[in-house]
Amino acid sequence: MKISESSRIRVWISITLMLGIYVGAVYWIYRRASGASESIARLLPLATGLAVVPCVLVIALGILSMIAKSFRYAARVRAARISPEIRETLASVAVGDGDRERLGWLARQHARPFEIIFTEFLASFGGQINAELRILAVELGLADRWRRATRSRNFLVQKAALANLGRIGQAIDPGLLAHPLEQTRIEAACALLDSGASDAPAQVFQMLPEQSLLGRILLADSLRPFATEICGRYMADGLRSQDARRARACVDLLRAWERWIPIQGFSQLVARRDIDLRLAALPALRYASTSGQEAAHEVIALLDFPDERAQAEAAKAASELGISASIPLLVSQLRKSGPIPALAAAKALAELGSEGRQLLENEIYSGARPQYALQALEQSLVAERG
Amino acid sequence: MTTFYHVINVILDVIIVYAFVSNFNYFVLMSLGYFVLRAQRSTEGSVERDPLFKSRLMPPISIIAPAHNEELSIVQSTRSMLQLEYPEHEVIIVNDGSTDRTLQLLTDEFHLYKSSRQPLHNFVTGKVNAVYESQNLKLLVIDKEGGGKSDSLNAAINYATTPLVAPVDSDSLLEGNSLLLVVKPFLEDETTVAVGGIIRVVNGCTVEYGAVTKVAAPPSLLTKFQAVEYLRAFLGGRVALSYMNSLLLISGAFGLFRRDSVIEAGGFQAGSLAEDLELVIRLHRINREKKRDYKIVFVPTPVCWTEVPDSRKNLSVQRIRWQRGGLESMWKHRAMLFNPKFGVVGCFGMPYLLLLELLGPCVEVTGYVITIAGLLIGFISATTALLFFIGSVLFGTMISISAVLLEEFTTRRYAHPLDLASLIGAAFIENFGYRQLNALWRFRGILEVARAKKKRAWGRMKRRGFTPQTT
Repeated sequence: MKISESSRIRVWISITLMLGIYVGAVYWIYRRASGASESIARLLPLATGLAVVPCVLVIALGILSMIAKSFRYAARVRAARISPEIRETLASVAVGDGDRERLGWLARQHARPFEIIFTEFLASFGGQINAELRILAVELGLADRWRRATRSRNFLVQKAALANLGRIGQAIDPGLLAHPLEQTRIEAACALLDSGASDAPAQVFQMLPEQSLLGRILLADSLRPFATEICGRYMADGLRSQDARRARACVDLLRAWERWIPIQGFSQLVARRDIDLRLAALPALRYASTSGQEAAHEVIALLDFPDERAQAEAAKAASELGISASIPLLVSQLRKSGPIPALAAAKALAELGSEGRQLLENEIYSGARPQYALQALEQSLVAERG
Repeated sequence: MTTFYHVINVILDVIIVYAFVSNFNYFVLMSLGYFVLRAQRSTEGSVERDPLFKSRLMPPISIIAPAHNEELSIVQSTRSMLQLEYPEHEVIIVNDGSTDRTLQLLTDEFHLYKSSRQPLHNFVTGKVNAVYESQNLKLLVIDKEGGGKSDSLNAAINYATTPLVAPVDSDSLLEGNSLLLVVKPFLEDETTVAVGGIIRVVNGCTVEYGAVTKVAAPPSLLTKFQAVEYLRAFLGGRVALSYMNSLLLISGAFGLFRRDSVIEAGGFQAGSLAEDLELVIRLHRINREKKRDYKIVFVPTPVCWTEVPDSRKNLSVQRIRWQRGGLESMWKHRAMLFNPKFGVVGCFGMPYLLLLELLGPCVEVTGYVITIAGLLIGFISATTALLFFIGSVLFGTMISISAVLLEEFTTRRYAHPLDLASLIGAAFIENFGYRQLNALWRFRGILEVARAKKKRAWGRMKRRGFTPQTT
């Protein structure tokens, strides 16, 4: 689990400080016991003394945390008791006939459960109720509280605040998009997209290459509603980019969306790139190619590529795209390649209609490697029967 | 006689210094664990289930679970594995020469058919009798001759088709989101080769339909002690060691490995009693030797619930086996010890494991024997013995209570204050009997290694199963 550089420094400062105090205590006890004549008499108080100090500290911490736990337990019980009233009052006010004063009192007196329920309402309701909730968030001071919380060092607090600000359409500090911690950048980007800012999709698209796969997965999901706009305006340039990370981020977006949005010359754009990018782009050929022929050309080129990984992936793509022209290459792959591409080729043949299945049957009876043909045919029939 | 007393005094000095160094080390690791968990706690929580759950970019995972006479829990745990939240995962159960109804139950419950599925790798394993598959192709059962846990895991890797493999114990329960959480380090950093999750004690919890629905402290004192031990090992030691990239153990009950890394390392060592430890050490060794940038990580959020022994007999068997396995792995990789070529793993991780974890029981038992003998003969005063005992109890209590508090400060799974109180109580009481007993069992493990006992077995414990409630 990644932690930010500043947190890393804090961890080392804390541990160094603590060790410093501890070593200081060792020295102090050693000096006090140095008058003893026998070594055992010097060492024992040292070891015992060093055990006593942290032990007392930990026991005190234990008692304190039990008290804190009891308080939290009681707070949860109180929150469970007041929650129905908060829900009822908030629902009435949101539809326009509730007691706003009572709602204000509940928001002040039971801030935590109120905020939780308010956030649930925000996420659940659209239309007029959502508009009313947005106004209420400003009126009740929640928006200000959330804006302050976006600067919190606790990511959980920061994340909730960003998400809530996005939901009520408030501006997001653009500096957070370049935050050193990836998770904060992602949350800020999602909130920016939620807030409806007009340039949000372009800004978020630009930051994609810098993110880890986890970040790209989360952002791809948030960018899904803007897929058409992004594909139309930015995708081709991204794929053409000399920056391999940018091109990879574009391919990942297309794969994650799985939406049929053709991009002019997609296959040619990726065919010129390195093998890793070409393999990553294979599953996207189905959605992004302008014609089946164009996609088939790339798949066949990869089936012929002297790399077993490429052959296996290309065989999978050939079956997904139903490229019958790939059959001779698949048969050759089944007979000559290693286990992984051979099995992939057999599976592809099983999915390529009666011709492919007939070839597999022939392989079972007379081929040199019937085992892969048998497995593929069997799995295909079982899947068909459901 | 003077020389004898002098020798005894020197031994006592060594023991005291050892106890001090050992406890100091635990204290440092525990504190580091606390600071790291606190820093992580403030940054975790970004795993949004929905986007990850439906994303096509998530790497597929094969869960591999060896099973040997698991008829009591196999159906429930397999169902729980199949129901895990993850976009694309398959479950491979290896029936390792079971003599009970394990295979029959699986075949009946999941409507398995005899499959022609072929292995994609060629680790040498015991003979595979048959392979069964479910109709949705999500469950694969390999029926093979008994060959032990490592052999079964290697057989499963032969059949796995995904880039990531997750060895788990077939008698454990993974939490619904555990795969989504444990895969996170792989998504964040492509140099990650292995990730371990936390193992927690299920005794006392309520289990319904293969999922833990209510978390509670274990009922008996013996299981409570083990719950404290697990917290101490995972939240204290492993968090800190993972932070220093010198984590040497990813529990066999739940981990996630890059399949090609495991294949490159040669798979799980056949016949090893600590195949999990041995593999992780080997992964460190290979990556360090090849001067690669790599990470082996522990994450405290994905939870695997396991039933711990509730009888002294079962527990002693387990501890002796762990001790033997640990020492054997250490012996095999002794070239890494104090070897700067292996960086922090060779200079800190391995010596820590050997000197403080594996050889600790020798020193502890010697200390008890000399103190008791010294008291009886009269060359150690009662005050000295008492001080020695108090120091040791205080340090032990401090470390154990710290572990329980770490849980409370971070994951906070025990909802009721009484659960916390009972664990804190157990952390104190364990110093009066249990700790000494544990040291004796582990000492026996050391003696068995010294005597080169060749017995290799699954080391089974009698289980109760999960239904309907584990108490």
